[in-house]
Amino acid sequence: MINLILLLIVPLIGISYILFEQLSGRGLSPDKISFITMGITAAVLLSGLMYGFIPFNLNINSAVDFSLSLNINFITIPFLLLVVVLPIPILYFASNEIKENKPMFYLFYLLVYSSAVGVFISSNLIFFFLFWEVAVLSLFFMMSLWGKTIKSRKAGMKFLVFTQFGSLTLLAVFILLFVYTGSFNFYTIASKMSSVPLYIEYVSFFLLLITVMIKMPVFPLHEWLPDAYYYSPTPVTMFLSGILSKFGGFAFILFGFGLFRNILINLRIPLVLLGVLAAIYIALVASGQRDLKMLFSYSSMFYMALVFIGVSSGMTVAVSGAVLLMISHGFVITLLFGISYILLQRTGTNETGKLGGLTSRMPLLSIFFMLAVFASLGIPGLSNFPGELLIFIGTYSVAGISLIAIFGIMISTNYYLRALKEAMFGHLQNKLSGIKDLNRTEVLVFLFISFFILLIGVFPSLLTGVLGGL
Amino acid sequence: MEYLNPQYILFSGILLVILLDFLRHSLGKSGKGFIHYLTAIILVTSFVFNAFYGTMNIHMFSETEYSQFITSFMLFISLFVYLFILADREEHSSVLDISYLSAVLGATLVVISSNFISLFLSIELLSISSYALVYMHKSSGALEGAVKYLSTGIVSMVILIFGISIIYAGAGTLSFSSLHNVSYLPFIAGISIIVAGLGFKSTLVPFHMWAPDTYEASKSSITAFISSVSKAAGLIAMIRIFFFALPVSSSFVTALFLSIAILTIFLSAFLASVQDRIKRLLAYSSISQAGFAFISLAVLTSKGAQAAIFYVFAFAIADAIVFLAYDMFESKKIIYRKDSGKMYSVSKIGAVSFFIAMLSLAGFPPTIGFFGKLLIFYALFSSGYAYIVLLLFFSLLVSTFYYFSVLADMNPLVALREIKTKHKVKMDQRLKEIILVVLTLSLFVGIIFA
Amino acid sequence: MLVSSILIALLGEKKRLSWAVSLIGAAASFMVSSILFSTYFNKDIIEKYTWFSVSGLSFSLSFLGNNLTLFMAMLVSFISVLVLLFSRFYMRKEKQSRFYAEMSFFIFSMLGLVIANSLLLLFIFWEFVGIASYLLIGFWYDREEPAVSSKKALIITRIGDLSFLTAVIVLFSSFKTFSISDIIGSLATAPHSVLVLSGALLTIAAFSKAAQFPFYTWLIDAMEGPTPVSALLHSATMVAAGVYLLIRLLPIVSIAGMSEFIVLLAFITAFISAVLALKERHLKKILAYSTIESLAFMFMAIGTLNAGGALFYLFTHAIFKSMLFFITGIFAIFFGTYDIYLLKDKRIRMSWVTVPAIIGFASIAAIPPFMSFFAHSALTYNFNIYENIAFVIVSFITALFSFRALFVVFGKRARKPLKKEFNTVFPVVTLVVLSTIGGVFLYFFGSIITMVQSFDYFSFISLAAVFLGVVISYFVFYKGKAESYTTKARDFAEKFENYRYEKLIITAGKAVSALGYGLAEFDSTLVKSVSTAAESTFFLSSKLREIENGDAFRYLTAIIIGVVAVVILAVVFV
Repeated sequence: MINLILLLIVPLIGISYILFEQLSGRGLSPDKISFITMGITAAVLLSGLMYGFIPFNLNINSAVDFSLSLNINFITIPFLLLVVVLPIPILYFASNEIKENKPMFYLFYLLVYSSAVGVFISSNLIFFFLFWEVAVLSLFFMMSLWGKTIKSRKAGMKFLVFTQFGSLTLLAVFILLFVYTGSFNFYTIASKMSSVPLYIEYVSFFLLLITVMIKMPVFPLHEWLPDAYYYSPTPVTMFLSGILSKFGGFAFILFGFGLFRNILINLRIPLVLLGVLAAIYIALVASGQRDLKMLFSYSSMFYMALVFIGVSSGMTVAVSGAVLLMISHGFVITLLFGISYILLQRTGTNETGKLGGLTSRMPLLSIFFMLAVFASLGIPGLSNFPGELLIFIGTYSVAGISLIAIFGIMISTNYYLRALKEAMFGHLQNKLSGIKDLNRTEVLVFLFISFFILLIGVFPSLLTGVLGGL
Repeated sequence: MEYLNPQYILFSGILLVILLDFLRHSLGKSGKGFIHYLTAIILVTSFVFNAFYGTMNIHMFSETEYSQFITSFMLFISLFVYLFILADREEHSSVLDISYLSAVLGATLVVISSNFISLFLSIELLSISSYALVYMHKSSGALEGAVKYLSTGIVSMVILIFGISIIYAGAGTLSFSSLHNVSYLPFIAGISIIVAGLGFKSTLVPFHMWAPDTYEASKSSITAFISSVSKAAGLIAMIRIFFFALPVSSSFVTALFLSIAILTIFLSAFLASVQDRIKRLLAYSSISQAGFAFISLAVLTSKGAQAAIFYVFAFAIADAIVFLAYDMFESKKIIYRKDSGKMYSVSKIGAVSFFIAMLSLAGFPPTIGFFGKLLIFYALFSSGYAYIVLLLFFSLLVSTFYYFSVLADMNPLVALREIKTKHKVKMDQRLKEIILVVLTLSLFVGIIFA
Repeated sequence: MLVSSILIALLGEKKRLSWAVSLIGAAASFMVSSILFSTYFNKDIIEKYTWFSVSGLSFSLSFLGNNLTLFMAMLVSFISVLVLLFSRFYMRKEKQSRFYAEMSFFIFSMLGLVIANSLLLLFIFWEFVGIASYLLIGFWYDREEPAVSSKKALIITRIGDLSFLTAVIVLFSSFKTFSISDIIGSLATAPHSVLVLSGALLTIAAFSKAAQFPFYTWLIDAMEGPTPVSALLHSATMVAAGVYLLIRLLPIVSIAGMSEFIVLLAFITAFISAVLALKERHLKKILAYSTIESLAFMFMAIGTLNAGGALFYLFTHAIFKSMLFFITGIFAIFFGTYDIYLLKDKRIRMSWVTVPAIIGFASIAAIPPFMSFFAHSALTYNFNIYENIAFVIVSFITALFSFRALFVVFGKRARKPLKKEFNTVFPVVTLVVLSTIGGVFLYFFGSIITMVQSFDYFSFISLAAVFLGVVISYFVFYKGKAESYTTKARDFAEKFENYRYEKLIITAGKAVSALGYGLAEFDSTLVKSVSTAAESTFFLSSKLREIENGDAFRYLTAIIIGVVAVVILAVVFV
């Protein structure tokens, strides 16, 4: 039996070790420390999955019900898997991209890492919020300090201010719940939901919806995303898309589906409609992008819209599908951003029009690119398919309009294939002839990510099996 | 034992210092230093005695539930601010010691006043010594700042007196405990005018205008005192009046408070976001903090009062840290926002403390600033002012913007590159840094009081 | 099943011996499926696995082994063996391992597709064959055209895939099972609307996979791929998957009332493709058009609820069409061109391929005694009078274009014989023999699927029409007298211009992307507007800042104003 606090203690030890190293000025390099730290955390998680977890509880201030209580709730484990595993390959890109002031960067890196773990396992809402904010802040600093241009500073500020609004509405939800149930503990609140008046439930649900729509993000409130994804350094983009956007989905499932289920069910039709609209809109916008990184940013929003549809339906099947899709999307989008990063590094451009015929020079890269694109298209056997299937099966029975979103998949087929064709196939441009393929480490990193894409695609039961008590 | 309270000690301390100052010449060169240390010791003892025996409890001054806590955090901050001034090693005259002690005394007396007269006198004591403190900075702007402070202060005091007299006309007494049967009209008029008078001390819009100028003109360590302890006193005075004295539960008071508070919060947020000079930005941020404390009074429930007290505590500490840390930067000519990248090279620990204190002011967990805001929102929500909270979110976004543009400008990357050339860190800086560390730690430990 | 696992294992092998490995794999699967076919003849066996399950719904994958599926498996693996033999010859200069890996992947998926019993599994393999086709068409990735046409092929078939997916979702939601046999068994319990919806969606899926109107353009472009790929995927097996799907799900389609619609579209397709084939110069594309037409014939049979006829024609078509593709491939390797007029100048008549070619083209035109004549008669069994008349017209044009190709290509006598090689001769000869004597199979077919065939008088009318067509094309193309006829025919064909229709699609596609660009503009404006809004706030604030200019008198005024305002508020409340 593994105590959950270990999952937090290990990264904290890593952080303090980096700090110590920085003060003493010698020893291991910070990226290695981060790697070891995350390796140990993953080992802890693995042994925890094998032998079970023990919840942890430490009361700090009972007046505001401020206590560090960690527990596994009904959807935690898949997300935990994602956040524990995904930053490991991201580390490679970080070590490539970040040359300045490494200790500081890895400090923030591990902060994001541990707080992402914390968000998924804390059952005290104040701690939940604390981890949530620490992750946002660390990403803000990573974005604006290590971004290359003045635009990345602006994008970072926009990201912070925009998502901060979402965080505040989430906080408002927590406080409202506290007012009526007298507790910040998720389980206590869940058991006392009957004492919350209906209009308060509606108000909280709408506030939550704002949070979710900003964080995921869903169409009308996505304005921060293109800038933030585009102008931040690639590892940060990976964090944003792979992990931070999952916070929104997680919160939506945990609170929207877990606590306000009745309201969710009452409002499911307009919400699904909104999701469908967002999906189609985003798919169309994505097909108007010429830059790979921008294209992937928008496509990432498309999958989040699908997740939104799935959760809004309030059907267990669709919600499990949403979880599956989120986990899988985390891996797929990381692979895609990795590819766009390597292309940018090797060719100096990310515009598909300026690339072309790279397969003859980079056969390995093209294999991974095709894999990622096929996964994104929802080809069975790769990870997005089970999630999409479950979402559509779940939503169809209550809101048939959700099937319109399949049209969005069609549009996304178009732009993915166009990107693939323009970048990888066709005539090789002369100036690109000297390009080198992936080196061994990169292949390993990509293989690592692809392994999970295949694993989830072939054995979705690994994840659906742990979605207990939905 | 009842004489062993901080107020008596402070009072006797002031007398002692004045006496010693007369004898200074016979004591020689070391005498001045001795006076300074004595002042520090007086503050320490008063803090300790407050912790053990509580505050003064005589005729016009009476203890309440929270007075011990409030007094102790005021003394705590004052002590560290004074230690910081002391660590400066800059020769300061013993007049500063006297004024400082008087100001602290005034602030602590405000907390326990149970009568309008005593309240007024305490505030006057605090104000007059503050004018002196501001003036004592050796810069060209100090006089101007002090005069502005003085002139607006005088007008405000007059207004306050006027308000008090209206209340007296209605109730026939000035004692807080016997104000329950005040009639409606004088009550309304009196309250509104008292708010206007006290708004000066606690920098509420539109009585705040002296604050940025004065803050900027005075030495940053003094600003730390004015913006934390002195402002806290003003807010505590309001809490005293509206929760423990007047039988308030009227829509008028709520409307008045809400409108003033929201005006304060928004105006200061927007003005802060366009400031170039860090100190002015901090001044406006401090005004906005006062607005937050004030808004939780508006709900007129005990939850609101608790939230307000805790929030005052939270922002007072954070403000003190910010200004103290800025004192170190100011001496290295970091005035404008674009210079803030150099902060790390001046003092790493100072910059980190500044950073954390800013987080607290911006209300980010896990600092007490977050819990302060949490309690305020809780108070507002439980009285059904959800829409006000939503409105406040927008101001918080603006404040997030300006806090974080400073924090991002601090850019540790540039700074850490420069820091490679290790310069010798002076003793006084180490002392200052230790003070800041202690205060910063209290930002986290303070959570237990929530 | 064994078959699939063997082929999966084979996928890993990517070495010099990949050809041998994939050939052995295909041969083994042929053996296995033949053994299974003979063992389980007339028995239904279902093997079922649960993939994953969520809250009571289990997503199960199951295979069905009965006469139909195992026969299809046999057919697929048989053709695959021959195609792989041929590829040894055709692909000798290419990077082989990737080709064979992709081919094996395709064969695996195709076998999986034919024996799948769960709709989900069927969909999975359906997607797999689509992907395999995408990869194989784009095999020469460094050329521009294959890249474009592979993308086009995948996008168009993807329309079908997604409507198939939708149909799967719709059916699963109402039946709570994926098993085809269960669904067919309990059709009566489902609401009519579900069946209509899913029937329509399945038809779209089948049409897009089988390159029927309006989806047929991708198949023509797909001829950019290597010829063995065209032989296997784009004539014999993958495109027939659409037909196979509807054969399996025929009850749904018939209940949904899609049959007339299918017949109509199939006729349009057959007519258009026959006419277009008449003007085409590219030999492979002629064959592609003929494939489209043959598939349209199968759909006609399905539309008239004659599954047996469709299946038998599928079988027949697979055999003679892949043979013709082999011949084309041989030409391409030896002469480096697909253009029939250029081939004419190469003088290849009387080489060893002549007889197989004649048999092949005669099979297209369905001339007795070849198998396709019997297949045609089985096909038209359920036709009513209008359908028969239309069929006769189409047969006429078919004969015209197939013999045009034949006469033009073999127009001049050869000087030297073509080289022979086991890898080319064996597949061609095997298939020739089969398609010659194949009519015999007709009498065994009844045990695989219920099928009736008869020679009614329309068979003979169409036969007459065919002979007429042969004669005309003999005079027009072989004797080469009338160039004017050719031009006229071409003018006529221009009206059905493939590319005009293409233009419509391209315009639509451009409109979508223009919309995309427009929306992208809009979105970036939206993105910027947020920043602009924020900046304008700061502008306002900086104006506001001027209130405080350091003038102490102004401060006092502000205080007085504040007091007055407060008092006024108080008065208002009183």
